[in-house]
This record gives sequence, structure tokens and C-alpha cells, in this order.
Amino acid sequence: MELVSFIDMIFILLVFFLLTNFSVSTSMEEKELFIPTPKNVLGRSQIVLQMIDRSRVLWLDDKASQIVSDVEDQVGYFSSERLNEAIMAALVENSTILREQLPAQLQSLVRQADQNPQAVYFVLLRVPNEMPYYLVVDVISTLSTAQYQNIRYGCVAGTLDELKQAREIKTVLVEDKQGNRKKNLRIDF
Amino acid sequence: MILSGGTAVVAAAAIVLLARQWMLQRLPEDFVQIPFSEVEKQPEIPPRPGIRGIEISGPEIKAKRFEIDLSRSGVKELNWQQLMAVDPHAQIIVSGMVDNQGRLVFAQRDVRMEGHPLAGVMIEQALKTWMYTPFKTGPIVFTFNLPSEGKKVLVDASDLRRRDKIPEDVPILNGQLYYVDGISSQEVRQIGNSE
Repeated sequence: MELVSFIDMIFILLVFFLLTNFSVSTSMEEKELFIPTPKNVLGRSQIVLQMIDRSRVLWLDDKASQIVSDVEDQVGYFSSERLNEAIMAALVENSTILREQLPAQLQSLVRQADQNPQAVYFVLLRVPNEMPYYLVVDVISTLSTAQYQNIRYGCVAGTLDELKQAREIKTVLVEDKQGNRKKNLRIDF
Repeated sequence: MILSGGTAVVAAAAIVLLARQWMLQRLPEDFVQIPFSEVEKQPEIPPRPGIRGIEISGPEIKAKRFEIDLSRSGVKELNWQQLMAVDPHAQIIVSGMVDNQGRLVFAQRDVRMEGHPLAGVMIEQALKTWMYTPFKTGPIVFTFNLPSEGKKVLVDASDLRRRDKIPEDVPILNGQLYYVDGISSQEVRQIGNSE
């Protein structure tokens, strides 16, 4: 009689460990989940979208460096603060679009990405904290329609004032590994 | 009693396992099992927006070539064979200026052809038609040394400078600055730096 009870206990324990082993184990991906966070380094992107307010967006792309370069040529002798102000004023004046124009502009970017499947685009979205999240969702959902999924994006909290208070805004010449030279726009906080 | 209790537990566990197996079979395969090839893959790490600053890619700066612009109409080549037939001992020096439109400009007095007028006129007529891509301006000197067994044509473009409207960060490379037929590039020497 005791032996039967003992066997029952063994079975119960066996069943218990079988169940817990199958139902509790995590997948390989969950065990090695890597959660990258923003680093204190210079971020690189092809396009920066700064939400100014609910109706305006600052769209900075490869044309922005030429705008800044023109300002540097005209008033490069200004002190750094005044030069930054002049540069930001020129960027806001020349690169601001209305929110109603944003979908068409994003579609144009998606078409460009579809025509260049080898290229990879990175769009940085800067959004003030108080703005509703659906604005970001609209942008991301449009960017995600790229046929070859070659538009990547990142979202950070940020305001136009933070850009205006950047330590330095200037153009820099960079050369990639293939020897191609580009004039990039660098905003250093 | 204990036996029936244990049996009941085992039976319940078996039912649970069977139910779980039935539910698993209804799931898409990707949710059931990770293929071995995928297990080894690392998740792709997207670029992270840096918080120290942003660098926005600008346009690619393509180098420009300063050279004879054959796309323009009226540019004529200098035929070396004809020149040799006319006067094989001629040594002609032409001092000209490249203007903002890329035209090679010189006066008759800028053509030194002492004792070799026929060759001088042939060279003058050809060079007057030469046009360059409008990226550099300044003086340019051509020396045509027909009897030479080494370098027969010397082009001195060392005093050419980039035009003001071309930004400093755009490199300007020197291409072919002469348009002569019947001569190899080894017989021509070009002096001048690309910028």
C-alpha cells in the first residue's frame, strides 16, 4: 500500500515538472533580448523631422546643408550665438512645411526609396512631449509602406527650441570609404 | 483512494497536455518552433538616434573636370599629320587666356611663329575654336615642338585658377586640355594641378 502511494507521488512530481518545463520555458529570442538605447554620440540620418507644433513640421534633408552653407558665406563673421540664430532662422524659413503637406512629402520619400532599393534611409523624428502620439504614428505608418523596407526611423523627444539652443550648427565635409565626399549638416547639442 | 487520486491527477495532466498539443497544432508554425537557422541569427540593430547631436547627410559633392568641351559646336581638332606635312621643323608658342565662358582667347601677337608662318596660322586657326568647361580661368600656354622626338606638345596650365562661383569644397580635376589628332598622349605633357 505504501509503495502505491509512493508511486503516485512520483507520478505527480513527474507531471508537475513536465508541465512547468513546457509551459514556462522562454524562447531563445526572449532569453537574449537586446534592448539598445540612445548613446551619447552623434546620430546620423538622412532626414530629420522636427514637429514644431500641431500644424508645422521642420523637414531637414540634404538641401539643408546648402541653406546653412549660404548663411555661413553671408554672415560667417557673426559670433557663434548669432550665427546659430541666423542659421536656424534660415532653416525654419526655408524648410518648414505644413502638416497637411507632410503626407505628400512622405509619399515622395517612399517612392524615392522604392526606386532605390539598395539605398537605406534613416528618418529621425523629434517630437515635443506634449504633442499627441497619433502624429508620430501617422508618419511611421507611411514610412513603413516602403516596398523594400529600406526606410528606418527613430523617434526622440525634442523641441525646436532645443535645436535653436544647440552648441554649434555647421556644415562639415565628410568622405566615405568609397571616397565619395558629402557636405553634411551637423547639429551639436 | 490514494491510487484513484493519483490516477485522477495523471489523467488531468494528460488531458491538459493533449489540449495544449491540439492548441499548438492550430498555431502558425512560426509561433510553434524556431528554425535552427533563425536561432543563430542576431537581431538587426537599427541605428540609434544619438543624443549628443545629429548629422544630416548632405548632397554628394562630385568632382568637376576642366577639359576641352567637345559638346560645344565649332570645336576643331588640330591635325598633326597635316602640320608635319606643312612645316616639320616648326616651333610655335601660343599664350592664351581661358575666360569665364571657357573660351580660349588670344590675339595674333600672342602666337610666336618666327620663321614658320604656315604652321603658325594652322595652329592659330585650330586653337581659336577650342572651348573648355567653364570651371577655371587664367593664362594657358601651348608649345608645339614639331621636330621633337620626345614631347611634341606642352600645355602649361599651372596658372589657371578655379572660377569664383565654384565652391572651394568642389574638387576640379584637369582633363585633356588639347584637341590634337594624330598624336599620342605620351607625346604631350600637361603642367598644372587639379584642385
